[in-house]
Parts: sequence; structure tokens; C-alpha cells
Amino acid sequence: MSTASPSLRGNSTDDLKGTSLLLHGVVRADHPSAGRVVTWQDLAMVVSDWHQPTREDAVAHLEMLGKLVVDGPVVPLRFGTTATDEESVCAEVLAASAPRLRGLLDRLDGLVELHAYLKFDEDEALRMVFDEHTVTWQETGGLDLSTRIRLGEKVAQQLVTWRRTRSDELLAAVSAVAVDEVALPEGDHTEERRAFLLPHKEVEPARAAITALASIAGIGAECVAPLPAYNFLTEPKETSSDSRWGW
Amino acid sequence: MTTPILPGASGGLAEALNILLDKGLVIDASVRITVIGIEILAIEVKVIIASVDTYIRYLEAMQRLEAQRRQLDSAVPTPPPASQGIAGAFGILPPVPVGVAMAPAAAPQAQVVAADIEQQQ
Repeated sequence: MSTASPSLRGNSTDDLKGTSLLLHGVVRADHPSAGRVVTWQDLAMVVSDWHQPTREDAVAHLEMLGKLVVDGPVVPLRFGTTATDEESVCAEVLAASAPRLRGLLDRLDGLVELHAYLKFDEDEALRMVFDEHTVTWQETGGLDLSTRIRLGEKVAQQLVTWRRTRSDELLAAVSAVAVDEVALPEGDHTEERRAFLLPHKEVEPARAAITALASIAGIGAECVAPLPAYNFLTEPKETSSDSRWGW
Repeated sequence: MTTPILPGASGGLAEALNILLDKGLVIDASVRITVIGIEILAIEVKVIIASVDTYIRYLEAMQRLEAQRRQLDSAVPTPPPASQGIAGAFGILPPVPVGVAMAPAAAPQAQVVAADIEQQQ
């Protein structure tokens, strides 16, 4: 398998016989810009015709949800969620979990997710780490490979610590207006990725603040927003143990 | 990093997609509702190999910086300690009698001269 061309797995085409719908996200039934939906009471599932999903479909899925969240709260579903028919969407998703879905929509109303990606110049970052620590590196040349790897890993840890501290400083203005924030999965050691949950009106000022960071020498900065609150779907406190949902 | 690279998008959106592809509300297995996923195992192996290479690169960078620092340190002359003797001579010198004439000289030479004087005495 090529890394540049991931394939879909988990169900063969035969397994998916009878599947007719691809599910994208839950919105309120009165959402003004949702396209094709399956509605049940005050809830609606945004759907499209099912076909074997492609990379382009994944992009379209994210873009669509990003547009929808501007006009109202969206609970995004995992990409690749399918249903056999509209009745199963109503019965097994919307009706079965209506209180929970309503709770999420209420909690996320007016809020969107914003991603900030900072990329620090590696040479510059290593120099900062070097200057911060008083370790002598000159004698490490003759060490065996495993020791060198372990020392290199230590440098990487110091690099990550420096990067997080520096990112805290650079993103302080966004943090100040955010309702919540989380660190996103690690990329390179010099790449900081964070998700913020923001009031919608704060997106443009935050975007301006983040993109302005790119003018600082040695820093690349990118902002992606608005997105549905993928990283803030904290499950409300459960009192029963018969949950049908996984997160 | 265990997320796949999806070339269907570009820039920040592609990065967001890589991060978010395995997120979102998941409905437990059901006959009529299913979730299909993205294969990522092949990428995890590559990431491990890349990490080792990266660690070595970081260590080598630190060694280069250390060498540069030492080179810089040796290129900058160490300022001599405060003069303790005559004509800018330094080092541990015995008290020099007042009135002993000494020619102005560079610091090391002055030290030698001072030692000679001590022997003569």
C-alpha cells in the first residue's frame, strides 16, 4: 500500500451491500444551509448517496461541515459512517440518542473549532535548545548507535518542551478568547498543532493573529477554521452504562 | 504521528483532514449503521524509521553547535587578569623592588623577565 494513497478497509463492497447513505453530521432540523437531510423531530442528519468513499470525498466531507458550522451547531460523525436507509438513521441514531445529541448541539451552539499549526525552523530551534542547556556534546562522537539514538531522543524531548513554551507565548492571544483548547497529535518535533474552541465571532481576529506570526523569522504559521468541534465532543456525564456511543 | 497523508486536499486543510479523519462521533457497530476506516499501519512503520534518523540528526546538530562554540571560545582572547606586576606583567610575582627598571613588553615576555629578576636576586 502506498502511503500517499491510503485505502479504505473494514468492509468489503460485499459487506456493504444494502448500504445507501453516507452520514456526515447532526444538525438542528431548522439549520438554514444544510443540504440533503434526514429529519427526526428537531434533529437532522446530513447525508449523501453512498458510494465507495475516496480521498476527494473526505475533503468534501470536511469542507461541507466547515461551511455548515457557520450557520449553526454541527455534531460531526466519523468519516465513512454509512447507513442502509433513512429509517435506520432515524431509529438508530437520531431517535436513539436524541437527548445526547441535543445536549451537544446546545453546548456547541455559536462555537467553532480552529486549528493553529506552527512550524519552527529546525536549525533555529536546535540552537535555542543548545543555548538553554549546559550539556557538553563534544564527547558523544564515539558512542554506539543505541546511545546516540537515546541522546538524540533527549534532544528531541528538549526541543518539544521549548516548542510548547514558545507556542504558549505566540498563541496567548488566541488562548485568551478560547472557550477551550487541546494539543493535537504530534507531528514533527518542530511543529505545534493546537485546536481551539472559539465563539464564531472570534475566528477572524484569531486567524489574523495566527497568520501574522508567519512574519516572524523562523516561524511558519497556518490557520484552518471554521471547523466543527471534532476535538471537543466531550461526552456528557453518564448515569447509565448502556451507551451505544463510542468517541 | 500515525495519521495518513491525503493528497486530495492542500495546505492547512490537508493537515486538518489528516488529523480529523479518525475523529468525530462514532456509532457502535450495528447491522444497519457501520463505519469504514482508513488503513494507517504502513505509515506507522515509516514513522519509526524516520524517528531514528531524526534523533541522530539532532545529536549531530548539537555536536556541530558545540564545536562552533568551542571554536568561538578559542578565537576570542582570554582577557588577562588584573595586573600584579610591573609594566602590565601578570601571574604570581614576588614583590618587585621599587626602582627596578623594566622595558615595556608583551605579557608572556614580561613574566619571563620578572622570573629572571627573581633568580638574579
